[in-house]
Amino acid sequence: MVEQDEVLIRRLAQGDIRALDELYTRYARPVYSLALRILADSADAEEVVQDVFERVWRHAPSYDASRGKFGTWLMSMAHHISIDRVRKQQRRPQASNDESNQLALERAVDREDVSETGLRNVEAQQVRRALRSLPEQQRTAIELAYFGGLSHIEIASALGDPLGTVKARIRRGMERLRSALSGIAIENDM
Amino acid sequence: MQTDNRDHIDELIDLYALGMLEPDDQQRSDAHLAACGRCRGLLEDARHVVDVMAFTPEQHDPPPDLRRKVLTRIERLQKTERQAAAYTRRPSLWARLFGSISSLRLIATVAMVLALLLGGQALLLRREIDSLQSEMRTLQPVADLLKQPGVQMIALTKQGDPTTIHGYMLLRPDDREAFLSTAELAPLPQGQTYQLWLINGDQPESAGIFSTDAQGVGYVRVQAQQPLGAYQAVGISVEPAGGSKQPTTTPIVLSQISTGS
Repeated sequence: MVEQDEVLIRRLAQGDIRALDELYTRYARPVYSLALRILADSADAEEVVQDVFERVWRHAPSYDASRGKFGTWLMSMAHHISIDRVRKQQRRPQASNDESNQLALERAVDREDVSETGLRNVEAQQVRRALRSLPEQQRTAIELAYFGGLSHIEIASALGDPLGTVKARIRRGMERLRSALSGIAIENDM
Repeated sequence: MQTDNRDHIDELIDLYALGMLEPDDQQRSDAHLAACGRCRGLLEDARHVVDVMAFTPEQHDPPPDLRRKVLTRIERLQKTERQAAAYTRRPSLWARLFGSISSLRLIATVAMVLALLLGGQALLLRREIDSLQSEMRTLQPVADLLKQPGVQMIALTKQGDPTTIHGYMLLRPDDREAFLSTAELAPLPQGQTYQLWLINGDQPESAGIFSTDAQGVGYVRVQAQQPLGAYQAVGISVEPAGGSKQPTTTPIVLSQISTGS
């Protein structure tokens, strides 16, 4: 019988390390892939995976399923840890540094995607497709924000666009992603 | 499109969900979201998109030996913490503590003799001993609390970022007294203080003010008006020196007190 994540986290809270082994089986791949996407370095991504699962173990006793799904909580941790690491390594593009801006763009902009299984991954496929279908400028702005950890001011600086334009692109892009998840098609813009 | 709802924050919702807001906008949004169910609903939708984005990168298998590294690391930590817990539960801890204090007293006596013989250098040593004794007095309530059954440890997490931990609170739901230690809370400039709040419903109750050292470490002995199990959350805000009757800034730490079994 397949145990739900919430059952495994309860077992982990009681000290059963085999539950962590099972959670690793389920989530190591998406955690590693997200960290690799953000950090573009396999050694850094490995460290993120270790940090994430250590935090899962540490916080298992205080995990509250009513506040959100385990997978969402776990991936949110993976995102925060990866972005913190990018910032600490000072890989963020500086306003005056064209070369590092370009690196951030190359790191953040989408690469080829592959399919997975499960309900969450059906949604991920929808968002992937929607991301690909966005006008390039909208997609770049959203990906720099999420995968690059940049503020809208930094994105405006990196792309050389006015702040208002960047904000508008993010709003339009996010609206299309929301629509993709809710199955509502909207017309192309920009 | 906005019409007469000039207070709504539609233009900030997506940036908020993506974690892109500058501090001023973040504070304005937090204040608005606390009171606006409509905008909280919009934020929930935007967050759903952001949550799903975590699963969108190209998928790669982690290196085969990473599982072993993760499990070995956790097993080591588990073993260390079990040993530490067993140590604090041992009755002989008190004998050890008192033994240490006796030893310190002996050292203090020797230091005093040395002070007569060596003057200033011994006085410095004495000050160091006083400092150690003071630290032991500070930590003794923690040792007392850890001996009690049903002690719970609440992680104090950064507002808006539950993965960043700024300390822990040790409590028993039936007690009115708890102990809190902080980590990585930067020392505040003169004229400001950290203030701890216990939140029951929408009513924050001050539970004391405190400062932190250069390493961001601070200790608070919490005295609550009600048993701690009656509170839903604990928060820390930055307030003017002397503290405030109600929080005047957005809490930098906000954690739920989950005392259910």
